[in-house]
Amino acid sequence: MSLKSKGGKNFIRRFICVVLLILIMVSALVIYIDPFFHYHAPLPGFPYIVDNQLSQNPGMAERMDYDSCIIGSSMTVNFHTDDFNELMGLNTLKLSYSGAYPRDDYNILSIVFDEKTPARKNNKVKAVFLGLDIPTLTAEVDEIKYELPMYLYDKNPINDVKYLWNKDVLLEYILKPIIQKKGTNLSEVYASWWTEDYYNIQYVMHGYEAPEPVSEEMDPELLLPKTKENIDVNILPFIRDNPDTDFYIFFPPYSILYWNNVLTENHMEATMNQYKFAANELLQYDNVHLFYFQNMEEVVTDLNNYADYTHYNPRINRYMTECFADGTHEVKNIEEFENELNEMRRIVEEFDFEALFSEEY
Amino acid sequence: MTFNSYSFIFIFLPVFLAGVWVIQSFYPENGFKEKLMKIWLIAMSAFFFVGYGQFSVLIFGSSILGNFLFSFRISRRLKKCNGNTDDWLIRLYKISAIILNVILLCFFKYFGTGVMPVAISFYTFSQIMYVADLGKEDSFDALDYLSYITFFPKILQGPIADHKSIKEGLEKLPSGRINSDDISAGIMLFTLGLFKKVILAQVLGEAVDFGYAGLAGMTALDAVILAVSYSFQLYFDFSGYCDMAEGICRMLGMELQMNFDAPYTSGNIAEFWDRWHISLTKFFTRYIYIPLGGSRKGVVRTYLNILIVFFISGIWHGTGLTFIVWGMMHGVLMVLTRICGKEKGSGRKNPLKVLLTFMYVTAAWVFFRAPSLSDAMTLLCKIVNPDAWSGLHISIKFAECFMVDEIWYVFKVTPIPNWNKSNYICMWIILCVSALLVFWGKTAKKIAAGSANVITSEDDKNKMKKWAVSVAYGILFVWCVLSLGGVSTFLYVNF
Repeated sequence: MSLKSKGGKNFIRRFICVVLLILIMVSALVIYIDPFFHYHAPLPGFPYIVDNQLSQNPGMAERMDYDSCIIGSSMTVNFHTDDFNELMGLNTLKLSYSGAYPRDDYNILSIVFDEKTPARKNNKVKAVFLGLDIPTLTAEVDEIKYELPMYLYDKNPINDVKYLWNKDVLLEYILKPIIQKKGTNLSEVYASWWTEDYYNIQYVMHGYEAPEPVSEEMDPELLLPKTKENIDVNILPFIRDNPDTDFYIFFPPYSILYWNNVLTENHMEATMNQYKFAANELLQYDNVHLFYFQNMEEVVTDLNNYADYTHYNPRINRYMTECFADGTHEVKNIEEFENELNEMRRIVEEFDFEALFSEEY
Repeated sequence: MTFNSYSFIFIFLPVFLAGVWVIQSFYPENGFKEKLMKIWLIAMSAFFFVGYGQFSVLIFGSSILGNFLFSFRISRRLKKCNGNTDDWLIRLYKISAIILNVILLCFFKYFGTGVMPVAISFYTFSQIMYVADLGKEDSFDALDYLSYITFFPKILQGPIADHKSIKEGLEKLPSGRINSDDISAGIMLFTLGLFKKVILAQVLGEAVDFGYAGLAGMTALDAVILAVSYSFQLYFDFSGYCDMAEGICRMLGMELQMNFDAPYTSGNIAEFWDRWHISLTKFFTRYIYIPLGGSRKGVVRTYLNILIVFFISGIWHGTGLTFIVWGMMHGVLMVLTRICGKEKGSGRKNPLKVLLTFMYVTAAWVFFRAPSLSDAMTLLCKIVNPDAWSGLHISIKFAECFMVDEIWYVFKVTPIPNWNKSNYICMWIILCVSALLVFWGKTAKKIAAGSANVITSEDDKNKMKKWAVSVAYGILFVWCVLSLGGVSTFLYVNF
C-alpha cells in the first residue's frame, strides 16, 4: 500500500489500534464470563442470567454439572429441578425448547450424549425426562421450530465472533447481572411468565379459538408414517444407544379443549392410532418408562388448571415429578396403554362441551 | 452477504482490497493487467452475490446472459454499419432488450410467486441503461460489461450508476495505487454509513414496526412520531447503505455517484427529487421523461409526462395501490410546483418551506409504508383529527421501542431512571439526533471529508484533533460491529 500522506497512515494505525484494543477487551470479557457457557463452566459466584433456550441450552448441556435432564417443549418449562433432587436424588438440568419439534429434541440430546463434552466426562446420564407432544410428531424429520444460532452449536471458532462481539451478550448477559446482582435460579429456569392468576377458566376461554370444523374424517393411518419416521430418527437412537440411561417419556396432560380440537378437526381415530403407535415403539425398550397423564380426568376437565388449551399449572408439573418417582401413571405394556386410551375416549365422550361453550366467560 | 455483516467487514472486504493491491503492485504493466483487475472484480462480485441463493443467482444470471447476447449482437451490427445507432436492426435489438428487461421485472413484481429475486429492480435498470447507451457513448466489451453489471458495491441497492461513470473508475484502477488517504476516507464514510444503518435505522425501525402493527391504539402524537420516524428510518437505512457503498469505492480511489444529498433540507418537491435517490431520478428523467417528450411538447404534455414518471416510480417501488398513491402524491405536487414556477430552490433556505416539504414527503411515506390504503388513512386521520389531540399523550409501550440498551445503561448510573418520564428520554434523544443529522444538511460524505481534512492537515496544533478523530471513528465502528447481530435487512433490498 503506497502512502499519500502521513495523516492517512496515522489515522489507519490509530483506528486499527482502537478497534483491536476494544474488540480484544470485549472478547476477553465475554470469554471470561462466558454467559452462554460456550467455553467453560459457569464462574462460581457470578449471577448468570439464563433465559435464552436457543443460545444457552447447548453450552449448559456441554458444560454444566448434571446427571439427568428435562427435554421437551413448553410443556416441560415449569418443572422445578429441585423436585427431581428431592424426590429422585437426581441432579437435573432443564433443557427445554418452547415449541420444540422432535428435531429440536434430537439436537440437544446429541449434545447431552456426546461423550467428548466436559459434562459427560464428569457424569453419566442417569435419566432423561422427555415430554412427547404427539402433534409435533407429524413435523418433517429435520424441521426445527426456530433458526438456531449455529455459531453456538458448531465447532467453527471463526463464527464465534457473533458471540464475542455481540452487544446483547455484553449488555443483557454480562452488564445487567453485574448491576442487578441476581442470577437465574436454575431450578426454575425458563418457567413461563404466567402467574397463578392466569390459571383460570375465564382466561383460557377468552384466549381459545376453536378450529374450523372438518366434515370428512381423517384416514386413521395417515399420521403413522411421519410419526414412525420421527421416532425412528429423532428419539429411538438415543434410547437404543444408551441402555444404562432411564428415559422417562410422558404424554403431557393437555386440557379437554385440546380434545375438542381433535374432534372438531375430525381426526380422533388417527390421533389415537398415533398415540398407540408411538407407545408401542417406545415400550419395546427396557430403559423406557412411559407415562400417560392425559386421562387425569379431574385435571384435564377443569380449565382452572390451565392458562390456555394446553399449558397447565406448575402444580401439575410437581405432581408429574412425584409420579416419575413412584411410578403412578406409568404404563408397562401396550395392553395397559390401550386401556388408558379407552379411558381417555370415555372422558372425551362424556364431557359436556356444549355446556362449556354455552357459558359466558 | 450484506455490508453490515461480520463476514463482509472482516473477511470479504479486506480480501477484496488485498487482491486489488496485489494486482496493482505486483502485476506487470501490460494489456492483461486491466483484464485481470476486471476478472478479480467480477469474481469477487459473484462471490458476494452467490450467498443470496440459487433462485436470485439464476435470475441474475439469466438477465446477464440475455443482455450479454443482445449487447453482443448490437456491437456486431454497429461495426457493420459504422457506428450508426439509428440503424433499424440496432433499434430493434435495443427495443427488444429493453422490453424483455421490463417484462422480467414486471413478471416478478406483479405475477411472480411473491418471492422477489434480490436486487432485480436495480440491476434491471442498469441493464436497460447499458443497452440503451450502447454505441452512443459506449462500445461493447464482455469484461467491461460484466464488471459494470455485477460491481458489488452497487448491486444490491444502487446507486443506479451509468456505465460510463463506473467504467471510468474501473479503468483507472489497475494503474492506480490504493493509498492511505483513500483508505482512511473510505473507512470514515463506511463507518458513518454503518452507524446510520445499524444504530439509527435499526432502532427507528423497531419503533416503526411496532407502531404499524398496532395503528388502532395510536394516539395523535404517537401517529406523528410514527410517521416522522419512518421518514428518518428510510433515509438512514437507504442512505446509510449508499454511504457504505461510496466508502468502499473511496477505498479503491473511485468516486461512486452520490445518491442522497441531504434530501430533507429541500425547500420544495422538485429539489427533494434532486437530492433523494438521485440516480433513480436521473434514470427516470433520461429514459422515461425525455423520451416521452419531456417539456418540449407543451405545458399540458409536460405535466402529463411528470405524472407518468411518478406513476411508474410508484409501481417500480412496490405492488399495490399504496405505492401508486405515494407516486401520484409526489407527481401532483411536482406539477403544482411547476405551475407556481417554484421548481428550483433559491440559494437560501426558507425553514418554513423546508418544514412543509418534509411534512408532505412524510405524509406520502405513510402510504409507502402502510400495509394498505385504509391503514395509511387511519394513521393520517389520527394526525388531522382535532379530537385525537385532546390531551397530548405518547404511549409508553411505543416510547419504549426507542430504548437503546447502551444509552439506558449509561442512564442507570445517573438519577434519570427515577424520573417520572424517564422511559421517554431515549425516544427524544433518538428523534433529536436523527432530526439534527437530517436537517443539519451535512451528508456523511461531507462529514467524512471534513474529518479527512483534519487528519491530513499539516498543522501540528491539530495533533489532539487527529487523535480524537481516529478514536471517535474507532469507537463508532466498534459500536456498530457489536450491534451487527440481529439487525434488520435493508429496506430496499427487495426492490
